[in-house]
Amino acid sequence: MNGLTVAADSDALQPGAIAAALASLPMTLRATSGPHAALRAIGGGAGWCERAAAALSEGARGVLVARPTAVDVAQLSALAEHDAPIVLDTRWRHNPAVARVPELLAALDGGVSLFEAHAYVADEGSLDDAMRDLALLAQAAGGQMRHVSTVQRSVGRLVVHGQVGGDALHAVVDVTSVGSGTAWLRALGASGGVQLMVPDAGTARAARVTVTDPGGHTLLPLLHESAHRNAWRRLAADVQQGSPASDIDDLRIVTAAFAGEV
Amino acid sequence: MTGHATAQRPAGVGFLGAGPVTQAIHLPTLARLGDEFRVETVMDVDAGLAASVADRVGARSTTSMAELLDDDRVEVVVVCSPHVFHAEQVVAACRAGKRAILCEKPFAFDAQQASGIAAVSRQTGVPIVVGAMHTFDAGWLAGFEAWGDRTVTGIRSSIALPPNPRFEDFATELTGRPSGSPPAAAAADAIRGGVLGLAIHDLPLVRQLLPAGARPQVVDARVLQPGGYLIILEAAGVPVELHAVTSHNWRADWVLEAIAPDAVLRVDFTPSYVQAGSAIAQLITAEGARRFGPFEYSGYESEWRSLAGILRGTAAPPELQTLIDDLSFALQIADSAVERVTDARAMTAATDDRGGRR
Repeated sequence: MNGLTVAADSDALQPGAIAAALASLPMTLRATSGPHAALRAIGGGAGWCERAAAALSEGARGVLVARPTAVDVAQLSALAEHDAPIVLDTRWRHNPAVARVPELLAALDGGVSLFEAHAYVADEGSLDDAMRDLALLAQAAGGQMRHVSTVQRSVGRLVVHGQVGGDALHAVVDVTSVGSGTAWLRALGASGGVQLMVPDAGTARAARVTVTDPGGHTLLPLLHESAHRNAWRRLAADVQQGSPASDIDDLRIVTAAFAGEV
Repeated sequence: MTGHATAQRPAGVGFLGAGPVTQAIHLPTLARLGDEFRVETVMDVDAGLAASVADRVGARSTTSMAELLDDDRVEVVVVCSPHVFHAEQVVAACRAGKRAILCEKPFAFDAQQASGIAAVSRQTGVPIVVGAMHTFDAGWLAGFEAWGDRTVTGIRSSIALPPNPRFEDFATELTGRPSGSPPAAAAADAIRGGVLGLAIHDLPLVRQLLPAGARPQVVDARVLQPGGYLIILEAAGVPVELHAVTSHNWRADWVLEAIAPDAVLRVDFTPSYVQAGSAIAQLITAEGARRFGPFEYSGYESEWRSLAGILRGTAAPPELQTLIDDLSFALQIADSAVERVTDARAMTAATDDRGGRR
C-alpha cells in the first residue's frame, strides 16, 4: 500500500478533523496505530512543543500540530532546531487560497493604505488564540509582522495594530455565533485592493479571493479544499521533498511581534 | 419676510451655496420631487456660478443671502455653503420665518453653537433638518428595526471611496468644480476632517446602535495614506472602529456593521451623490440572513420626502436634542482623535521600518 503512514494522538482528532482529512487523501496518507508512523498528529494543548520534539526524536519524519496554543519564542526556537517538517494546523493559514494573495498584493500599485484582518469566533475564551491564528493568516498573505500592540479588548472584541509587510495592520476578532470560524483580509491600495475571505478550517466551502484593479473586480477560481486537508498535503509534500516547513518560524515571528520583541 | 402661510405645493426652495452638493445631490433629487418642491432661488458669492446653476432649473440667482431670505417665494432654505457659514445662515433663515431649513452636516462647529441654533429654532418654530442622508436611508431603517433591542458588542464603520468627482460626474454635469488638489493636511486637520467630513455620515447610526447616552472615548487614532483615518474608540463599553481610505480605487465600499452575540447587521451604502436607491441591509442570525432593500429612494430622496412630510404636517420634524447630541458625539470623537493622533504619529516615526513583504 502506498502513502505515508499517520498516527494521531487522541487530542488531535477533533480539533484537526483528522479522520476526515485522512479519508480525503487515501493515496497520500494512511492511518496506522503502530509506533513507527512516518507522520504524527498531536494536539495543540499545553506542552505541544515538547511532544512535537519527542515525536521527531522517536522517528517521525513530520509532525502536524492541531490547533496549537500559545508558547513562547524560546520554545519555538528550540523546536526549530529539529529542522524537520512541522505543520501548524491553525484555523485559516493553510487554506489553499491564501497562497495566491502575496503576488496579488505585490501587484498593487502604490502600496497598501490599510491591511485589515477580521475574524468571528463563537467563544470569548478563544479571543487570543483566534487573534494569533488571524495574525498567522495575515502574515502568510501580507508579509512579516512587526510592532504589534493591543489597542482594545472587551468581552466581545480584541483589536490589535501593527505592521504586516511594512503596511499598517488593523486586526479584529469579534465574538459572535454568526459566521463563527470565518476570517477575512482586505488590503486597500492606491488604485485597487485585494480581499480574501476564508471559512472555518474544517469545511471545503471555498475561500474567496477578489482583486480590484483599474480594469475591474475579479473573483479568482474557487478551490473547494479545507484548510485541514491542505495542511496535510503540505506536510506530506514537505516530508517527501525534504523541505522543512516554515510554520514554526512563522509562529515565532508572530509570537515575538505580539511580545513586542520585533 | 412677512408670514408666508402658503402651504400650497410645490414649496419654493432657495439654496445658499451652488457648489457640488447643490448641483450633484440636491438638484437631481428635487427633479424627482417636482410635485413637492420647486427651486426658486440659487445664491452664491460667485455670481456666474449662481446664475449658471439657477438657469438649469429656471430659478433666479443672487449673490445676496438677505435677498434670498427676504423673498416670500423661498419657503425652504437649503444651506450648502462652506461649513464655517452654516450656523450663521441657519439662524438667519430661522429668523426670516422660513417654513423649514435643510442644512448640510455639520450644522454647527460646537455643542454651544448647536444649542444656540436649537434655541432659535424653538423660538421661531422653524424646523431644521440636517442633511445626514444615511439616517433617512430606508435600507438602514429597515435593518435597524430588525436588529431590535439586541446588545451590540462591536461596531465597524468602514468607508473606501475614490475622489468625489467620480460620483459627482455620474450625478450631474458639474460647473465650477474647485480646481486642483487640496493641500496635504497636518495630522490633526486630516483626522478632524475625516471625522467631520466622512465618519459623520454614519455616526448618528453608530449612536443609535449604542446604549443611550454613550460617550465616546478614543483609544487610538491614525492618519492613513494617501488619505483616510483609522480610529478606535469605546462608548458605554462597546468597542467601535471607524476607518476610511480615499484613493483612486474605483470600487466604493461603504459599510456599517454591528455585531451582537447572536447576530450581525451589515449595511452596504451606495456611494454619495448618485441616485442609486437605498442601502442594502442584511441581518444575519442562526436562522439565516434577512435582506432589506435596495429600496427605490436614496437617502437624499428620503431626506427630502421627510421634509415634505414636515411641511404637510404628516411627519414630525427631527428632535433638536437628537441633532445636538449627534453633533456632540461627532465633535467629541474628532477632538479626542486629534489628541490621540499626535501620539500615534510620534510612535510611528519612532518605530517605522518597513519589513519588506515583497
